[in-house]
Order: sequence, then structure tokens, then C-alpha cells
Amino acid sequence: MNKTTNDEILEILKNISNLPDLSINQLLLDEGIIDSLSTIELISILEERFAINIGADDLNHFNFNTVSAISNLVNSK
Amino acid sequence: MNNILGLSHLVFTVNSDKINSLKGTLLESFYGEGNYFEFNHKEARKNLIRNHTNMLSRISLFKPLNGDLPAIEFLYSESTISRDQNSFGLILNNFDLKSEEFEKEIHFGKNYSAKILFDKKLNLTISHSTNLMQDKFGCWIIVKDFEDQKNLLLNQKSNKVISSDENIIVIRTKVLNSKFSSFTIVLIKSNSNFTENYFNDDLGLSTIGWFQKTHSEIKENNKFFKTKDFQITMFGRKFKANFLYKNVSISHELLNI
Repeated sequence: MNKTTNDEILEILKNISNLPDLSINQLLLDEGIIDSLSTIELISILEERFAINIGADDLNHFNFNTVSAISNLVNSK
Repeated sequence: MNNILGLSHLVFTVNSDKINSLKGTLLESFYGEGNYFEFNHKEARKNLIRNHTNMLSRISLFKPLNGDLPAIEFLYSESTISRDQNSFGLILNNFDLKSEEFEKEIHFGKNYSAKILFDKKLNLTISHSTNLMQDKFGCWIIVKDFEDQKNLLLNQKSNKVISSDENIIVIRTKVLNSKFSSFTIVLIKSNSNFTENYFNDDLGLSTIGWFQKTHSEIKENNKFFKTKDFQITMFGRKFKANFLYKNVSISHELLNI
């Protein structure tokens, strides 16, 4: 389940960032792969794709810096 | 309680020609190169501007270099009416700001003060030392419509009250930048020296920009008017947006995700 979510999120991030070679271990925020606008776009896509609600309290560096962390956030909803 | 996700940007209305770079300004080490945009949002903006020659939105947008500040916009205007120079400003607490200008100290009531520098190019007051707040980054805004502005900010889930009394409220908000950093807004009730009403195209800190979810967007109420929706395309991304405004102190721009 978690791997599937990881894969889906990785695909979303590849599209948002225009980086087809993006790997699952990259640090999305620290490496500048996603910026504020792409994070907003990501939140919107995640909410629609996974039918979840991401609130202000979920928005922190830890939850969005890696694919796994995003996946954990999605799965926790 | 609305569902604003966090702070997007601050808008400073200026008379300047295009500001392409912040080199040589007090913000040089905090922001990167500027991006210039023009938007035709006449239908939305017509009620929140004083001078119709400012109907077209011409802005320079600067993103923070280290992902720890909100973006800032300079909105070009031909207005000759300016918010008081010391009635708003950025707070960059404990940073060593280089300036040829003389440092001044201003006071907010009996208990609060700020050491300030004025950046002539940006027409912007910046404090590097103040007891208004403890956090690194923030701003102060003196407003006539203190209660309405305060209630608007208090109605956002992303905002936390740090301290408050009848004249000042200190609110910590979350910035939707790459660090999801904190930014403190110090809202100060104006005294009788500030009697003018200010529009979006009057000079100074004119707008606070927020990201919000479309499905929980703030409705117009008896305190603030809401403009028609308009579309913004920036860096390949489209947002539906609108303004909450009163034409008294500052307006709020809501970017819908």
C-alpha cells in the first residue's frame, strides 16, 4: 500500500517539477525541487487524488521534504 | 474559522520605476532577482483603487533567497497619497543591516519601540531591533480599522496569537515558502494622527496575500467587501484570486488553490 502511494506521489512530483528522473530519496524542499507554488499545486492534487483534506497544521518541512513523508501524511488521513 | 493555509506575500505600493533588483537595498541579502508581471484585473480592482490610472496591475515579485520569508511584491502606482513612513515596516530581528542612512528609534505607545532604517529606493522602513516581537521575521502595521483587521486574522487557523492588549496584537502566521517558516504580524491600533483612509494604490504596505482552499473561501461580510474573482498566472501556474478590502488600511489578497 505504502509503496503504491510512494509511486503515485513520485509520479505527481515528476510532473509538477518537470524532472522525469526524480528519485524517491531526493530531498524535495532542501534541494529546491519543489518551491512554494509547486507545493501549493501538490497539495491541491493530493487532496483530489486521494480524497483527503490537508490543513494548515499539516504544512511543515518534515511532512513535505521527502516522497515517503508525503506518503505517510497521505496515508495518515 | 476559515481555512487559509498560510501567508503568500506582502505587497508594497510604490511610485518607483520598475525595481528589477534589490541590490544596494536593505533587502539585498534576503531576496533574489525580481520578476515583472502585468495583469489586467480592472474589473476586480476598480473598487479598491483611488486613481484609475492605476487600474492595470504592474508588479515586481521577489522570492526569498533562503525560503524563510514571504515573497514581496512592489506594485507600481501614480498615487501621491502615502501611508505614513513609520506606520508599517518589515522586521528582520537581530540582522546586521548595512545602511548609509541614520538609524532612528520609533515608539509604539509607552512600552514598545523599534530601531529602524529607511530604505529610500524601496520607500520601506525596516527594523532590525524591536521589542514588538521575539521572532526573526515579521512586520508591523498601524491600522485605523484595528478590530476588523484583528478579527480577520484571528479567524484563520494558520494564525496563533502570541500576545495582545487593547492596542496591539502579535500574531504568528505560517508562510507557504520552502521552509514553511514563521512570520509575525504585529497589528497596532492607530492613534488620531492617522486619519486618512488608504486604498490599494496608495503608497506603502497595501496588501497581505494568503493561500486558501477554494472550497473554504472566505465570504464577503459586513466588515470587508470582496472583489470579483480574477485569474493570475505566475511561473506557469494559474490561481483564481480575489481581494477582501475596505479601503481603510490594508486589503487582503486570497489566492485559491
